[in-house]
Amino acid sequence: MTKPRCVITAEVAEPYLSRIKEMCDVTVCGWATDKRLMPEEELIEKLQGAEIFIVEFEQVTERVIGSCPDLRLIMCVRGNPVNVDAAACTARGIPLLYAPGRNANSVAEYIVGAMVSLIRSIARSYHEIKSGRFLGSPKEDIYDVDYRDDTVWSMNTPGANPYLELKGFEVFGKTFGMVGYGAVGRKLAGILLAMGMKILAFDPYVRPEELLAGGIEPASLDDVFSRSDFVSIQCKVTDETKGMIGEREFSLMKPTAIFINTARGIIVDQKALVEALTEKRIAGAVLDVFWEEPLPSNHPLLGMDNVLITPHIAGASRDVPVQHSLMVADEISRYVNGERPKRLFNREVMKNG
Amino acid sequence: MAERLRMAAGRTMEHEETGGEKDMKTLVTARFDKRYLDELKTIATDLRFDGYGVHGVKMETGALIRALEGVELLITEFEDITREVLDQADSLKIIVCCRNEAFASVDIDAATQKGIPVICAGGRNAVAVAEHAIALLMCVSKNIALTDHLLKYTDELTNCTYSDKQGERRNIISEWSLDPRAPFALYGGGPEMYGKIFGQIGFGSIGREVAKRAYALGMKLLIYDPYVKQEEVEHLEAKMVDLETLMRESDFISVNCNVTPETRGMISREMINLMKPTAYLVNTARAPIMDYDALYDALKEKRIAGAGLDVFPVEPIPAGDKLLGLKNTVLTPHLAGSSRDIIGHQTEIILGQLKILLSGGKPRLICNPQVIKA
Repeated sequence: MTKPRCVITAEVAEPYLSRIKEMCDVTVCGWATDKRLMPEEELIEKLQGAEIFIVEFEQVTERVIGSCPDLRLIMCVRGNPVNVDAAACTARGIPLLYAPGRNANSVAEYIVGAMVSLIRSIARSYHEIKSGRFLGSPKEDIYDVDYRDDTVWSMNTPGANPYLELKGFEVFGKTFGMVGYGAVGRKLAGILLAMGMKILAFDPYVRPEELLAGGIEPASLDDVFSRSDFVSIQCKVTDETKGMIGEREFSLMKPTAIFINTARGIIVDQKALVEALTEKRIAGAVLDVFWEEPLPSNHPLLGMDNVLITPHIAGASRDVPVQHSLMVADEISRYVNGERPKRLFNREVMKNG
Repeated sequence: MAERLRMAAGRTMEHEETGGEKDMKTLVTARFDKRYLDELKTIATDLRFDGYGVHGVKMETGALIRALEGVELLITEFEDITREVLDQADSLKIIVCCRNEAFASVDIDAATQKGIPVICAGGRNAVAVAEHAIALLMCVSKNIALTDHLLKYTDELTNCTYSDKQGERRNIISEWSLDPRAPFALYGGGPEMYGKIFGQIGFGSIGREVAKRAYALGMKLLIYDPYVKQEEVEHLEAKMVDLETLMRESDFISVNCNVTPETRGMISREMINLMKPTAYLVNTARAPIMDYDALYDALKEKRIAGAGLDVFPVEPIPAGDKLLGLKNTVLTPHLAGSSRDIIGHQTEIILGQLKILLSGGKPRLICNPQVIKA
């Protein structure tokens, strides 16, 4: 029996790649080998004769799908296969698989680190120190010290007392509100509970019993915004969630509360957020995603001390490929054994076929 | 003494059950979190608040002596409880000092001679330091502080064009860019904590809080603390190891111990050289515990992945110090314990300790345990 031909442009980690090679005749190319997105023409050429396509970032358009008649299965290793034309897959009867939750650990950890970084001025004081603030006079040999057991930064340096100036607060005992309780929320909840936080979650697609069983209080969207010390957006972009968070929601927040977005910019009304922060109606924000990326260099958010900004890297850990590779190997094994897929994105395709 | 305290506790409980009057005449000069007032009232009667906790100014000796007349329980923080004060406080049975180190305010010897137990609020900043330590590790391993700095104060990540940003790749897709010069490639790719090995050096009140969080993050724990037994760490599925093993095997290391003759210089050049090239270290304890020169060399030569440092050999850091030039290091100016929530913690801690003492037990945070051995 001949092995099915499989083209892989996603980063697939060992030992999973070897496992796939045992089951399929594999070609690895594109992003996986060159860290460069393969253009449409080249992709179509590579996919001729291929039955399975495992992709991460390349654009899989209707034209690509229409031009590769042997394709029977496409797996996009992302949590949301936005680069693949799902409707075109369905029309051709091709199951589109994806990798939900592959970066859930990464994002959950980022939220913890970034949230504490903001309220304890870690990134801010790092910048201040790097820029020369809070420093003492130059010293010839800094290791020539009369070491005392206790050293304190500031007491003898008038006007530079970071301990008082940057005094923060703890997440312990505070309330964390989740908008969306998916893979990230599930990973995050256990960490936050161990840190002594109370959790509220709004998610119309999760049964209240499931939240309660996880130690989380089910809440309405308004409750999440009005009662939380931290409000975190953790949902997908859908027609329902686009622009879901606007002026009304920000007006419900406590003036001491922090807004966190690691999902997508488009879920949040840009103007409403910028104004709430400018007018200090909310205390601060942690933002990893924006309405346009790269963020324009004159964006007002870049000038705010009470905002922690990172360039869309919350999900960018080196362990993410391991997570999706495990899922890919599992799905390929199901496919070659004639089993139903577990991570089907275009569910309607199965009804047709 | 223990007998007396047990009786007092017995009476308190009786009163609690019947809802009758409470027991000890009490003076509170510490900052006290009012959310715990009802709990205090189960122990204290004739409750009076004064001194630093009310006015932000320490009470003078004379005023303190007068205020202590008839007082059995004193809950203090910064007032100087000298021998002179204690000599005249005839009714005093228990002193609670809401500081990590009670000896800084209370004459412990004098209290011991009078048979008065002194309780402190050790670990009142444990949560603050633990949160800071974990976040500092994340800030360095995930490039959070670095990219925040680059975005806000340089044009490196904003005023630029990337090869893959033409056309309609907006809105939903909205990656910053997959260009090899873009942040995803340059500053992503750090490790997750989940599934990694966490080395905890020191398992006191702060180390315990750090370890608890590392465990919740899904890490496997190695702990070095010669004063802790394996059974004390079972609930974290942790393994007690020697320092060499911890340095050699850990992916993330947190230092949380006091400076003592034993710990001074403990994390030597030799120890630092055992670390994995992929490992990160955070120090929120004190600089003399580590060889900072050796740490600098390891970071500079990329023999370890990164460090988060809140404490330094000289504070403030002298301008031009070589530590300031390290790319793989996040520095904060001795902030780990700087939290407004400490008052809540000290109140909770001392009430817990007080209850143990009143029920005839030996509180962990007693400064003069010899007074209750009798």
